[in-house]
Amino acid sequence: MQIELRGISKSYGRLAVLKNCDLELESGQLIGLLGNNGAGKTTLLRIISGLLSADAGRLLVDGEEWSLKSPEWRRKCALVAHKTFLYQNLSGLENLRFFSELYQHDLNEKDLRERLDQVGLARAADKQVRAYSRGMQQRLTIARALLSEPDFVILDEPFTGLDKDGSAQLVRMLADLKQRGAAVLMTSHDPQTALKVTDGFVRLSRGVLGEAVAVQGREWTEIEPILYPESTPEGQAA
Amino acid sequence: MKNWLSTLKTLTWKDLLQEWRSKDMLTAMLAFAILSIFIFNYAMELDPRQRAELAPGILWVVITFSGTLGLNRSFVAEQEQGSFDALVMAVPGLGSIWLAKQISNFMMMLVLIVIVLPIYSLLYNQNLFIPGLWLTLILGAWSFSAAGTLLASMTVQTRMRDLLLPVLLFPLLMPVNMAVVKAGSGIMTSAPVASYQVWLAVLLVYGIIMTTISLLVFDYVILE
Repeated sequence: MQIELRGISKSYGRLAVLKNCDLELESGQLIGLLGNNGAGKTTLLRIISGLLSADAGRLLVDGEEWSLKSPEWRRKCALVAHKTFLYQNLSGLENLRFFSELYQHDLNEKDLRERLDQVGLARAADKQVRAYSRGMQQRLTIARALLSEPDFVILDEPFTGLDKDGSAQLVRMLADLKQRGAAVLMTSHDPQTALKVTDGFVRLSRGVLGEAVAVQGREWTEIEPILYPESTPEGQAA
Repeated sequence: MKNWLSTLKTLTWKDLLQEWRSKDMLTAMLAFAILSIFIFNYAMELDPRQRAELAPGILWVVITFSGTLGLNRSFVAEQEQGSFDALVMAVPGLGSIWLAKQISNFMMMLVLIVIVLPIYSLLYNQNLFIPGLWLTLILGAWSFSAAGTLLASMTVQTRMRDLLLPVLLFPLLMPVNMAVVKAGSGIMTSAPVASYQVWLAVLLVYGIIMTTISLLVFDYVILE
């Protein structure tokens, strides 16, 4: 599957948050979206996931035009955002069962417990989410997002709140997702951790999305000057 | 259609289970309702005829004011953890989200009515176990929660939601308020059915119109 976003623009009043952004992603590819706070990353992710209307822009899936606001597109996507999207008075298992029923996946209790086990929450399955730590909630959030086996996964700072084990587990899950053929778009303030699974980076700066930079086995120190030319001595001199 | 109904059932069950565990809405609604009835009881010395005429009005004021407290809380769980976004992404027809919330809000109103009417009956020594009165209040509760659930879904996204909801809701409910009070008074004073049946029709039509409008515009309200 090839996903192309063309000319995505969004303004709030006179403030242009996104200016004519283009992005391409393929099945099995993970692209890291970088940008400073307030660069418009979350706005872009919400538009791509169909939760926010763009002022302009097109979505092409395998060359065919789709509406970003169509329910079919929204159900193809999974989003892990800053908020957990979880119900605090329900247990981890009940949260997964609820979303599995909404996606009409008919996963039985054994399947759901396996999903919880994959994110290290097997023992906390029957506890209400309000008793979970931030890291546990983040793990459950990821399990919830991947429940529908989405074609396109959007992750907004997924490493937030995760400890070392949790981060390593997430990296493994992302690698599995790629292997399964999902396209992944992820923002992160920790590109060095993300580098382990990322195929390329794009940078969003002042509403403008730059060209994608392929990782191709390079270290972050080699990629950073390409993405952030202003941080190099030459860039500062210019 | 089968999928839509199954989604509706799942959403409604989740709302009711959440409320059963937290009791956030019901506790606030019942506490306010019972206190209000006590205050009215002490504040007004009424003869039996006046009691019969005023009972539907007093009851409706108590029910709607208490209900507004509940409506204000009805989308808070979704708003606090952003789970509304997850619902929007998972559910194909967003109208089912509104209808599930409407059904659970309506059921809270029913619980409120079932508890409040006997208490009122005891305090005012007045028989309120009249099917016509119950029907009027139930029709009123459906209309109230239909309009209230739609407005609550809009105001929950604002900072002044607690203030904004009643300010927007009560003018919109004017026909319902009038119809409940007029029909209720007619029933309580044993007036001829012809004198108040138009008000029952108003309640029915208002409920149908508000339900239809809400189902049609909910997608727009949420995504725009």
